[in-house]
Amino acid sequence: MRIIWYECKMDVLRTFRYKMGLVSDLVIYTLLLCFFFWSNTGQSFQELYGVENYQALLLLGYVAWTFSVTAISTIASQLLAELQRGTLFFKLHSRLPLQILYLGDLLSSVLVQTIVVIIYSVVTYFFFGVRYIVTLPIVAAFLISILGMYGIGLMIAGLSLYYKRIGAVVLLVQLFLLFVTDTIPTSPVITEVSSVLPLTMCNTVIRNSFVHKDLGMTFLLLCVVSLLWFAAGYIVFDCFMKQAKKKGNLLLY
Amino acid sequence: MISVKQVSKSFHGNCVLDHISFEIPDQTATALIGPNGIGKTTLLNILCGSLVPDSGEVTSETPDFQREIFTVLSGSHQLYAKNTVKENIEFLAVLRGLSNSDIRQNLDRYLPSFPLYDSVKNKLFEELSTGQKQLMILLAALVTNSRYLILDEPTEGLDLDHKRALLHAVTSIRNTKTILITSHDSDFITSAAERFLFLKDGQIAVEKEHLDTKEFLEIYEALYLQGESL
Repeated sequence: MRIIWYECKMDVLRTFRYKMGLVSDLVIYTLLLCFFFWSNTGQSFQELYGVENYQALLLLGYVAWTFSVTAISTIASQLLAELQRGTLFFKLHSRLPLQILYLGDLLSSVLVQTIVVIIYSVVTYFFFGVRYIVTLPIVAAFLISILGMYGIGLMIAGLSLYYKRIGAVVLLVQLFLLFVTDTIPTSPVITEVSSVLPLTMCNTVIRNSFVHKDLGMTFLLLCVVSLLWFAAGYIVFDCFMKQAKKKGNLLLY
Repeated sequence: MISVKQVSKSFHGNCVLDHISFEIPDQTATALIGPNGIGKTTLLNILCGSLVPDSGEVTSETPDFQREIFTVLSGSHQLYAKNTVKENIEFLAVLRGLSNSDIRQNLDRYLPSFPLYDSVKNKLFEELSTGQKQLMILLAALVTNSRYLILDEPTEGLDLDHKRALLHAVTSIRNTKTILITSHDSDFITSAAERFLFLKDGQIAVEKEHLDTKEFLEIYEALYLQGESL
C-alpha cells in the first residue's frame, strides 16, 4: 500500500506542477458538457426515468464517463510516456507488478478529476440550474466501474507496449464510450450490447439510485463485471508485456 | 555473481549476440567495451530483464537478482522532471521496498560522497545540469541498496568537474557493489573498471584486467580499427 501511496503522491505533485494538463481537462470537459446542456441532450431520460430533472441524469452519466476515460487513459498514456522517458524501467523492478503499481496513478487521476468534476458541476449549476446529490450507492458505483474501466485501460496499455504506436486509439475509445454507454441517450439496441461495459452498467445504477428506483441485481452485476474486466486486463497486460520483452520494445534507449 | 550462459539474440535476422558467455563477479567493476552497434546495449537489456534472449540464460545465486539492478543511462532524463531530487530518490527507494528509516540511513551513509545533494535536494529534477543529474541518479542507485549497478555511458555530456566527481563516486563504491560500465571515455573507464570485456562479432573477444589507458587503447585499436584477432 505504501508503494501505491507514493506513486499516487508523486503523480499528484507532477499534475499540479504541470498546470496546463489540469487546465485543459477542465476547459474541454466543461465546454463539452455545456454544449450538451445547451442542445438539450438527454431529454429522453425524462420519460425513461419518469423525472423532470433529466439534466441531473445526464450530468451523473457524464461524471461517470469522465472518471471512466480517466481510468483508461491513466495507464495507457502514462505507460508509453514513461517508456519513452526511461522511468518505466525503475517500475519494472518494483516490488509490485505494474498493474497494481499504477493503481497509485489511477488514484491520483481520480482525485484530480474529482476537482474537475466539482468545478464543471458548479459551472452547470450556475449556468443551467442543474442540481444533483451524490449518495453512497452512487459513489460506490463510480469507484467500482473505475476499477473495471482500468482493466480495459490495461488491455490498451498492453497493446501500446507491443505495438508502440497506438496514436489516437485512446481518444477514439473515449469518444466511443461517450456514444455507446448511455452516457448521452443511446439506442436501446446499442446499450444492450454495451451493457457488458462497466460504464454502461454504472450509468444504469447511478441513475436508478438517483431516482430512488430499486437497484436489484444491477449493482451486484456491476461489481462482478468490473472485477472480471480488471482480471482480464491484468492477464492481457501480462501477456503483452512478455511479448514486448521478446520483441525488444522495452529496450533502454 | 551474474553468469551469462550461451546467450544469443538476433533482430530482423541480424545476429547481435552469438552464444555469448561470461561472468560478472560480485563487488567488482567490469567494463563492457565495443564501438557503437556492437551489442552492448542489447546485452545490458538482457541482463536487466527488459529483453528476452533468443537462447541462453542469465543467472545468479540470487533468484530475483534483476530486481536488484539499477541502471544509470546517459542522457540523464531518467527521473521525473517535475518532482524534486529528494522526492525522486525517496520514491525509487520506496519502489524497492525500503522503509523511511532505511532511506535515511542510506542517505547518511552516502551523502559525504555526494556533497551536491544538500544544495539541490529541493529543486525539481529538470532544473539540474546534466552532470548534477547523473550524480543524483547515482546517489539514488546507492540509496536504493541495489546490489548491481549498470552505468551506460555515464560520462556522456559531462564536464570535467562532474566527470571527476562521478569517477570518485564510482571508485568509492566498487568494492561494495557489482558494477557494469559501458563507456567510450578511455580515461574514465580505465580508472573506474578493474575488468574489461571487449565485445566483437557477438562474443567476448578479449578479457583483461587492470588496464591503463595506453594498454586499453592499444587493444581497442587492434581489435576494432585494425580488425585483428587477439
